[in-house]
Amino acid sequence: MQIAEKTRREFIKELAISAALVSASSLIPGILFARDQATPTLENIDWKKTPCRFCGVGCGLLVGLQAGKAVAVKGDPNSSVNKGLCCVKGYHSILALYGEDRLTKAQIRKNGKMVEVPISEALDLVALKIKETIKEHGKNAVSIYGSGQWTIPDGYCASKLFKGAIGTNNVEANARLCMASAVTGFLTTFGIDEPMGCYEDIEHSDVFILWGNNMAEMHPVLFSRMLDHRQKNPHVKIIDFATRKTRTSYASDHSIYFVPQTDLAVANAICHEIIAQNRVNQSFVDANCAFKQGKTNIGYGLEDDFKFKDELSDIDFKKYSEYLKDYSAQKVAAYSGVSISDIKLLANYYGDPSKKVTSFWCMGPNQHTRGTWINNLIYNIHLLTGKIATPGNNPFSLTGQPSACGTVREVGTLTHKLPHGVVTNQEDRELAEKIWKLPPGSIDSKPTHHTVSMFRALDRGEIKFMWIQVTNPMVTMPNLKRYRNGALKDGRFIVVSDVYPTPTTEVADVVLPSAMWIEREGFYGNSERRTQHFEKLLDPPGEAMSDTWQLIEIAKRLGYEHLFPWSEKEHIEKIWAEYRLFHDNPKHAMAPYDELKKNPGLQWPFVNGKETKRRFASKSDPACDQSREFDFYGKPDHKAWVIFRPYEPPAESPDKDFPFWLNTGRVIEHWHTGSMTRRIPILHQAMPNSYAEINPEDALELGVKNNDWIKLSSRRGEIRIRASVNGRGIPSKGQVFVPFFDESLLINELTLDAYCPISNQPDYKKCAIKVERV
Amino acid sequence: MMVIANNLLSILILMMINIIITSGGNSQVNSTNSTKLKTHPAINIRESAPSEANAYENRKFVPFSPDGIIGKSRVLMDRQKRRAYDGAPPKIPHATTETYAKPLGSECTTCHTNGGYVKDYQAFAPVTPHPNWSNCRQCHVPMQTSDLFHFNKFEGISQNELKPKGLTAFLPGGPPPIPHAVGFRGSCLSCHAGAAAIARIRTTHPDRINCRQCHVPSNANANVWQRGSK
Ligand code: SF4
Repeated sequence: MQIAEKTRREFIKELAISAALVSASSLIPGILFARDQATPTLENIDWKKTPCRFCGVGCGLLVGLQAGKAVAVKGDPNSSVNKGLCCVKGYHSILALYGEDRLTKAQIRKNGKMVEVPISEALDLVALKIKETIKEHGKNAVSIYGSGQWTIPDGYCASKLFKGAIGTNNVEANARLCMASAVTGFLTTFGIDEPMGCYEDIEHSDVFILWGNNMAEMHPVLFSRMLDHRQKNPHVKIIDFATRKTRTSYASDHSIYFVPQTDLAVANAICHEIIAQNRVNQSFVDANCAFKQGKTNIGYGLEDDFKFKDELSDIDFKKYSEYLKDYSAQKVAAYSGVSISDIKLLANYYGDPSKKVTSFWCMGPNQHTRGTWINNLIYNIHLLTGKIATPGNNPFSLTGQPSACGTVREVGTLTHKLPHGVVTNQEDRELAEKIWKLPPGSIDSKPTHHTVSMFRALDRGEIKFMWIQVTNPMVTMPNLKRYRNGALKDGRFIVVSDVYPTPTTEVADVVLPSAMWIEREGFYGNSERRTQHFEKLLDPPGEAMSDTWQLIEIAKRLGYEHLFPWSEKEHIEKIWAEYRLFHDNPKHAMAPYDELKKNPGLQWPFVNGKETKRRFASKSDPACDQSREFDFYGKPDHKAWVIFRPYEPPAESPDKDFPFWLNTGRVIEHWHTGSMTRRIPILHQAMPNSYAEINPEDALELGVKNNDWIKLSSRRGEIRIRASVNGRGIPSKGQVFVPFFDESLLINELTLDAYCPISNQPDYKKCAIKVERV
Repeated sequence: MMVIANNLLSILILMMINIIITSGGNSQVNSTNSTKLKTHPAINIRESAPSEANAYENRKFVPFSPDGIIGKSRVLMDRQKRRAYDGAPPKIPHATTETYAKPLGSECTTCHTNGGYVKDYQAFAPVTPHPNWSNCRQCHVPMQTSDLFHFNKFEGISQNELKPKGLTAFLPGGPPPIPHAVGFRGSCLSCHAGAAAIARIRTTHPDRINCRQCHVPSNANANVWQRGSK
């Protein structure tokens, strides 16, 4: 079509003008970025608050409901976590409810084949099997393996049923694989679990140091909050301390790459420099710190009968400084791959009294055979400089899962834990027995198995019955083949509660269909001690039932109805009221049900109607002795412990036969094993399969190009996978990175089940492999 | 300092452009038709009152050129295809590279901050309404495949279903309120003006800049405020 010349010129002129306006308008933040979140009223759409289903950031969402279905999501502008912003998983989270192959009916294995049965029949069978197993093999032959994606009531009922009613400490959760080292780090340094600071510290910090933490993909909303803060305050610096170049590296001001495991040495070198440069905050240290050392040469847990118990002994500052002499910048630079100037740079940021510093970390330090140690070492830096518990000064251990904190750490769904305290402590047991109305002595005083040990016991046949809820261990266990073969052995009875078929439901004898997330009422607790309530917004499909109610149904069938006397309508509220009794003190008090229902999350300790933003600083924490500026009340001496921890090598390092490091992890699109996110079309289409990132130089030497098939093998297994060269992440030379979400490319068949002997958390970041062209 | 200087500069540019454009603009007054009005007893409308209300309606609207030189024009359907539901972050509709540049996001913002014609895609790049967020792929992901892992039965709200109340102006010829949530789409012009804007939702008067001087978010469910009510 011909356009008149005049019109065309006019058009182009107008186009040019409006284009100029469009781009210029984006530069006027004040007018155009007024955060106006007002929503027009769409007919029949009801917006309801809930925390996001996926990661530990715990964003507040508003889910739009229409005719009994979830139809839209937006970030909750009233949530202080995300202030209206989400990530691609959060925005599409509701699609995970509608995958075509949702489990809607129970299944039991009959003659080797899974057949659908009414859920009541499946529940009868589960209860019968528990009874039989206990009768024949004792109570420690039954176990439950849950999740940091359990809601708080799920974990609470699991603990009450197994630890309380049945009397076995065979209660574990997948958070052992993700947060255990963070917990033992807190307990050894502070004597009490969970971060002292809060997300708001981001807006007060001058420097962020990210320890092996690809926040751009794993904690995206917090990452954007940090970038936003830097944009408004150009003096702010982000330092990426990592083993691989990631999206986070591209956004940071400086990247420092270290050889795997040498983070231990670099952390000590930073402390050495701080002391050498006289930058210790002496008055803080004198008032608030005690110096300790622990055992060394502590092993890796590779043997089935491995046992270790750490013991801390007193040292003084002088002794501590002497130990650090082995960690001068020169000495550490020689084997860590970090230059002397970079070590000094880090020490300068931490040591400069005019700079507020936040450290962030998550799986890098936690999935580490010395995970407890590296957590201790990061705290040491913050304690020596007194940069802790005040706005902007925050050693912040981030959580991976939406309720790893809420359910696993706070409810204590680990073998040694109770909702308050530990099973080994008589007072803690007595409190639990009192609240649970159990006869004295019902709770066993001996911890049994941590996760790896539990799956080993299943393999050996000491555990005969395992109930797995909200997790997919047949994708996520390290050294996977051993544990899958173990689960498949004769005489093992596996029950799996889930929402979709997974490699774990494939090994099950009974599959129970679960109600997911907002198809039931519940609570999650995020990384910053924020408890978030969500209502039941939708009906679950078919016979799907919440994990909490499944546990209660089993309890009834085992004759414990009197311990779980709640109606279906009220049980969540009643469970919350009972659970709160465990934390009825200013150090841990939980907000009441009604408050949680009203608010988009509240931080504990919730004392006198108020949240506690920062613990241990008297100004903001009512549990502190108010005559002191800081009170580290977790320890009997009211001090935080600076614990000397040395460098020790990893369990397996590259050698002649297996010359590469293997590192595993997540990608932004997928949540864990992808059982939900792969069923969300946009996420699957963006990231359909796993891949192996290799360093471009290594690729050249191997003759491998991007997208070529390669074979990766370790002493435990092998897979064929496509190479990614110069892709999303670029590992340092000699390293390979593989995301673990893909159930058809099981990278955990290669990983090693070595763990931190103090936290018992496996190391998914380091083992030795071979890379070959195929 | 730099930021402020930048802002001042852009405001200056905008003012200048504004002068150029408005000097040519006609400001014919349209009389309001009182018979169509649902008059509120408290409002006394003067029929002959001079109004700016329809000043822009007579302005020539130049449609997108279909002849190819100008690039593909976008229609509402494109917008819908890229979102799981209205309000979801759109996916990236073109091939991307996994190789990034520093700073993060610059591989996207090169085209999406200023817009302009992109030869590779024969289209005008839409301008991001939130250039202050730089971790673009936090929300926007490309497509590597069109296959599915499993079919999904989700049906979200679509733009076709969007029937917000209060979409129309309170007074004839008055500025209509904003019919959608603003959220992170605070820069109105990135969707409503410029070459990449969908023709149907383009504004006739991009030069007015301060959109929310006249267009306010609507909330038809809010009750009429009365003294003493909350
Ligand atoms: S950052 Fe985490 S909590 Fe927030 S929307 Fe994304 S997955 Fe959900």
